[in-house]
Formats: sequence, structure tokens, C-alpha cells
Amino acid sequence: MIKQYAIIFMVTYLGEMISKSINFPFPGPVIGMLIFFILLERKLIDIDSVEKGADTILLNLAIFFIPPGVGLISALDLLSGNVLKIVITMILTTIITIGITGITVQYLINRRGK
Amino acid sequence: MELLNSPLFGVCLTIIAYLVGMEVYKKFKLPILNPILIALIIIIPILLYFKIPLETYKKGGDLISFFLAPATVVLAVPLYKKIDLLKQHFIPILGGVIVGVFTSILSCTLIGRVLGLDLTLIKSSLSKSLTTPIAIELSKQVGGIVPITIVMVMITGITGAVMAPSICKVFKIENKIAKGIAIGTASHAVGTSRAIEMGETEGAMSGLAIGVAGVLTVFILPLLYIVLF
Repeated sequence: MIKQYAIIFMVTYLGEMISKSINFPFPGPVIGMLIFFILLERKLIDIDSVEKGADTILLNLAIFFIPPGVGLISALDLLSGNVLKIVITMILTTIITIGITGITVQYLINRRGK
Repeated sequence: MELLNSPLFGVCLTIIAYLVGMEVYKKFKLPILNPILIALIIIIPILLYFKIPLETYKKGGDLISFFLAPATVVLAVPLYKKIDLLKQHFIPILGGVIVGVFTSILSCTLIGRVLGLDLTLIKSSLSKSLTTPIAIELSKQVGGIVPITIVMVMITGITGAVMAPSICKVFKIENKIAKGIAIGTASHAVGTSRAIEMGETEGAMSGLAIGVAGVLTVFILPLLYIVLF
């Protein structure tokens, strides 16, 4: 198990180093994810050598968002008076995004079927 | 008060609130009882009521959120496992997700402006359709406020989980692949929990779309941001 985390943390570190050395605001963890994906796809890392470690993290993914979420305390001023507007915006945009994405995929599948 | 200065205070409070959130969610299985939402509803009032400074909580909280970076990196694993599914329906999936990513960003900007949302709030909303770790990273990048983005991601996920079947009906989306891709692109893992109940194909496609939408948005958002703001 510790080997699995060694690989995961080294890839994370590599992503961070690349992020800091390029002149473009590209988040380190996302670079790490892309590197990790390429390493898996090219079979340079065997999926069995990281799967258990990755699954353990993914199974409890939600816990890592809690501390940044608690930071809401310092943003309560900005939130007050805007809650309803935010909720309406989120609901409407979700409906529109599901609708348009679904129609697009359906259209592309049907077109190919003909 | 001195006891609170240990990082263990924040660590324990976070873990307990998370466990309570998970238990409540598992018991009722209602999307609105989102475990993170419940955890925040437990922690924030405790800190406010006992006048515990955010910095005191963060000593422990930061230890936990440190793992956000490796948690983002390992998102590559579920994406890799579903790569064959992507290859089978490459054009419809890629085309649909790209359109979905643009739709999400543009609709947030447009509706946010129409409703007169503060610019900072609009910026916080641009990555709200994505899985939380990627949404957080991108929110920082475009000048959003991370905790607000997290709340927006939750509302979006809950909306998808509650309304997905009705939305598909209204828009006459009948194809199972189309349903799954739409739900995952717009409402990440929380919406996907509903897609899984709708059917095996819907669930798998929705899960795949989370990763594809995350990766594509990383490239699309910074470019669109320059045009829009």
C-alpha cells in the first residue's frame, strides 16, 4: 500500500513542479492528473500498482472538501443577500447544460446511425 | 482554549462531521442531504457559536485539505478504466462534452449577469459543473472564491440528482448514452449517483463524462475567460 502512495505522491509532486516552472497558470494537481493518465494509458505504470491506493482516496473524496468549505465563514458577507440568486442561477444553468448536452449527444449518435 | 490550538481539534471535528454527514446521507438517501453540506452545517455553527477563529480550525483543516492535490491526481484512475467506453463512442461523447462545457460556462456568465450577481460570484461559478477537486483548482485560477465554488458545486450536483429524469423528459433526451453524458457533464458525481439508478449505461456514461468534462474544462476555461472577462 505504501508503494502505491509513493507513486501517487511523486506524480502529484511532479505536477506541482511543472506547474511552477511553466509560464501559464495551469494548476499543478491537474497537470499531475494528466501525467498520471498518460502513464497509465502508455502502460508505464501498471494499474494494479496504484488502484487500491487510488480507490481508498476516491472512496472518501468528500472529506477533503470540508476544510476549504468551512472557509465559507470568511465569505458570509458576500453570500448574504445573494443566496436566492445563486440557487436560481445554479438550478437554471444545470437544467440548460443537461438539456443542451443531451440533445447534442443524441443528435451526434443518430446522425452516425443513419 | 489552549486545547483548541492543537491541529487535532480541526482534524477530529472534520472527521466526525464527515462521518455524521455520511451516516445521515446513507440512512435517508436523499440528494438534498449531501454529506458535505451536513458537515458544513455542523462545523460552521460550532465555530461561530464558540467564537473559535477560522485560523484555529485551519491548523487541522489544512492537514486534511492537503490531500486534495493527490485526490485530484488519482481521478486519472477511473478515467483510465473507462477509456474503452470513450473510444467506442468517441465523437458523440467528445462533441457532447465540449458543447456541455461551453454551455455551463456561458450560461453561468449570462444568467449571473442578468440576475445581477457580483462579478466575484460569477467567477466562482464558472467551474461549478465539475468534480469538486478540479472545480477548486480552476476557481482559484479565475479569481473565484473557493468555499463559494464548493457550495455552488453542491447545489449543482443536488439539482442534477433531483431533476435529471424530468429534464431528460422535457428535452426529449431518450438515448441512454446521451442521458448519462449530459448528467455527468453538468452535475459531476452527485448527479451521477442518480444516473446510476436510472440504468447501467446511464451510470457508466455519466461517470466517464465527469473526467472528460474536467480535463476539457481545464483547457477551455482559461481561454474562454480571456474572451468573457
